Order: sequence, then structure tokens, then C-alpha cells
Amino acid sequence: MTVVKLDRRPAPGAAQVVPKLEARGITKFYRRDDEKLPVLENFSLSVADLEFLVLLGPSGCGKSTLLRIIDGIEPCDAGHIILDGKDVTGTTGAGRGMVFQGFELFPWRTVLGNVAFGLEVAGVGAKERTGIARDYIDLVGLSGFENSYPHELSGGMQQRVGIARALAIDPTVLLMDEPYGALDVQTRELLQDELLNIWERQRKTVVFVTHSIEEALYLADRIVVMSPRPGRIEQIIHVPFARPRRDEIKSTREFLDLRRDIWQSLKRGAHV
Amino acid sequence: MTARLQRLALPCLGFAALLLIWEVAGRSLGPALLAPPSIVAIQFVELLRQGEMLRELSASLRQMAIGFIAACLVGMPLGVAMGRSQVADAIFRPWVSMFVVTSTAALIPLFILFLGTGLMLRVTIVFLASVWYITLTTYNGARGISPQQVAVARSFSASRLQIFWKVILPALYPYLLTGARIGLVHAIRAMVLAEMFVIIGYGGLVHRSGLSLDTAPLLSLLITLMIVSLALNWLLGAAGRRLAPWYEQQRVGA
Repeated sequence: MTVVKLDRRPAPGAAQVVPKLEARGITKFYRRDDEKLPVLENFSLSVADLEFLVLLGPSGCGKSTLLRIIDGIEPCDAGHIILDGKDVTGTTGAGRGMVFQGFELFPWRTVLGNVAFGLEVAGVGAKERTGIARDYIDLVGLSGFENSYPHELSGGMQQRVGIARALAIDPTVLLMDEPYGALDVQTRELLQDELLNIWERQRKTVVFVTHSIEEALYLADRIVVMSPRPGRIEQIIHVPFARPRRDEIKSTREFLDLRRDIWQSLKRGAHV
Repeated sequence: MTARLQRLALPCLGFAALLLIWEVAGRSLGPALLAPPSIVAIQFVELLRQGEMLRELSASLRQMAIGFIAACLVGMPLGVAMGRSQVADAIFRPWVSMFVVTSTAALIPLFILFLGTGLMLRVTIVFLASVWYITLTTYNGARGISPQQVAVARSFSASRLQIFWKVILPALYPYLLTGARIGLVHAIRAMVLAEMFVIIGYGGLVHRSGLSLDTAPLLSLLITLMIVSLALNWLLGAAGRRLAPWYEQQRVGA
């Protein structure tokens, strides 16, 4: 494991002492017939409070599975998820909000109904949740579309709804599973900037899954490069770029060098 | 504009061609074998004026409605249970598979023995003819519900009951509606069939007309039934679209 020490955050050591979120010895098998295929084996990771962590890797490296285990919607065969010092393995909520890859909006609900969903199932009253949902719809720039149905919106707009839906329950940890994987490049870059804007204002811990090196470098404080079968950490990279970040950094020497490093590390992992 | 014209003009053209063929055939065969549309139209207006046709039809449809609604009330929950629970699936699927391929007509003589020729017979036959289609359509819908959408609800810590009411039921809605529409078609057919066996109601009217030497009244009755069936089916669809504006964009089977 190579650790590139290029630190922007003042005290990552201190943050490691009291991690916001921890995966401890996570093991997950997929069962096909009588065969057990390991997706993750004894995988451990900790995320500092307010950190923007990106899990980067090729498909099949278990990054999405890990995220779903962290969220509690997928069971694991061994290991623990510790959030704020409490064991939350196999349970959902407790400050986690998830944004899904295929948007996964409810087609029978309007934008407002989708964003208010989490508050609704949590028993927040109609008037209050509508007010909160409107605020978050405004935050993602969809004012005026409250009463539209998902099928009336573009992919980018649908994922903005997905983000507002996750933010509406005011999570302390935002889990994002390749949220822009289904979008075209322009929309993706627009949404990346919007996400950084929101993150800088809302102050949340983010765990973001992607297979795009550029996306990882542009967004992350720290990138965990994973390699497949079973998923393991190939390399951890502390991303040095100052915030707020702008598009121009993508053409800097440092960015391109890091991109090449990561690409090589991914290739190494793939050949194992 | 031309596309719209085509959409309207082509079905009209097909319809006109059919009427023309029917007219020519009817005139050469004579009204005892096949009354031409020009004569059927006059007969149709006459039957509307007399009122018996529509009176019998509405009475029959009311009885049909009892069987059909009962079929929805049984078929929909049964389909959901089978689609969401492997135990329910294992218990009920053999029965549903057997009954759905059974000819309703073949069951009628048996049920006349059990139930006589009254209301219960017709309600039962209508029920048996439609319930399996409603069940199977709902079943397929319930099996096909996206696990991802259920995962979203779980991610927001929705309870099992909340998942059922807020995700599974709305996701099933297009299937419930399609099941009801397919079921309704079968229910109306079964209604006429059962009534023809015991010569009562609208089916009885059809049966008696079939014995006469003039095919014009029979054809009028069939056309009326066709129009009413289509109208009811359309009405159910329109009600569905009104209740769920997103429905049109949802692909059943997606």
C-alpha cells in the first residue's frame, strides 16, 4: 500500500483518533449456488468528521457494496460499522442519508413528495416537512418544479432531487453511490460543482463512490483506491488542492500527475 | 399534422372497409344469415327505442359488477401475497395456474347444480372467470417491484408497513389497473355466457334473438355489448390516468 502524503487538512492524525465513521473488518460474500465469492474480506476504513472521502475503483471492487453496508441496507457476513462511536451494523438511519446511482426516485411522487419522503416516514408533520422539503428543493436549484413528476425532469434534475431527498433528513453522513454515473459529462461536471458548493455550506461527512479518477480528484479530501476480488485498499491519497476548487485545477500539472499515479495504481490492482 | 391525420384517417378507413364488405356480404346472403349494417342500424335504433335491450343490459351489468368487484377484492390481495411471499406463492400458484386455463363455460353446468340459476350462479361464474387474471397480473407486478426502490425506503428507515403502503402499493398501481381492465373484459364475457346457459338477462336476450330468422336484432345486441364493453374498459383506464398522472409514462413490466 502506497500512501501519498500530500495533506491539506490540518490534523488528519487527530481526526483518526475519533473517526466519524468506521468500517471494521467488513466481510461480505456473494453466494452463487454453493459457491461463496468474496466481495470484501476483512475490510477496514475510517472516515474523519466533515471529510469528503471518495472510494475509487473498477466495477466489481465492492465499493458500492461497502457503501450499502455502511448505510445498513445490505447485510454483511462479518465486521462492524461504527458511527459516532456506536455500532450501527445492519441498521439504517442514525444520521446517514444515501444518494443512489440510478436516482431511484418514486415515479408516483412529485418532486416535493420525493424530497419529503424521509421526513414523512420519520413522522414529521405535513406542514413542517413541506417547508423543509421546499428549502432543500431551493438548495439544489429546483424551485418551481415542486409539483413536477420525475419523468418530466432530465437526468441531472432527477439526481438533484435525489440529493435533496437525502439532505432533507439532515444527515451527518452523506453516502453517494456513483450518483453521476448515469449522466453526461457536462451535466456531471455541473453537478460536481453544485455538490461542492452545498458541501461547503452544509458541512457534512461525505462518502462518495465513483470509478472516475477525475471526479475523485476534483471532489475528494482523501481518495481510497480499491482493487477487486476481493475488494481491498490499493492506495490512499490525500488530495492537496485548496478549496473552494474550480474547474481550472483539472488542467494543472499536479492534477494530471496524480491522475496518472492513480491510473497506474488501478492498473496494478487489476493485474493481481 | 399528416401524422395526426394518419392516426385518425387509417382506423376510419379500416372501419369503413369493414362496413362495406359487411354490407355487400349481407345483401348477397340475406338478413336470415347476415343482416347488412344498413338494416342492423335501423333495428338498433328500434331496439334502443323499445328500451328492453338497455334495461336488460344494465340489470345484467349490475349483477356482473358484484362478481367483478368481488374478484378484485380477492384477486388483488391474493396476487400481492403470492408476489411478495414465497410461502403464499407455493400454496396458491398451482391452483391459480389450474383455474386460469379452465374454460369457464365448462364450469357452468356444474355450478347450475350447486347454485341453481339465480343471482349466485351469475356472480360466481363472473367471479371465477375474472379473478385469476386479476390475481396473475397483480402477482407479476408484485414480483417485479424494483428491489432498489424498496432499498431506498429502507435507507430512510421506513417500517415494513410504510414500505407496503408507500412503495409496494403505489408501484403496483399500474398492474392493479391493468389487472382490473383485463378482468373486466373476462367478467363481461362470462356474464353473457352464464346468462345464455340459463336464458336470462342480456345473455338470454342474445340467446332468444339467435333463434329467430332475422339476424338484425342479434347483431344489434352484439354491437351494443361491444360498445358498452369498450366504453367501460376505456372509463376504467381514464379513471386510472386521472388518479395517477404519472401512469402513462410508467411502462408495465419495467
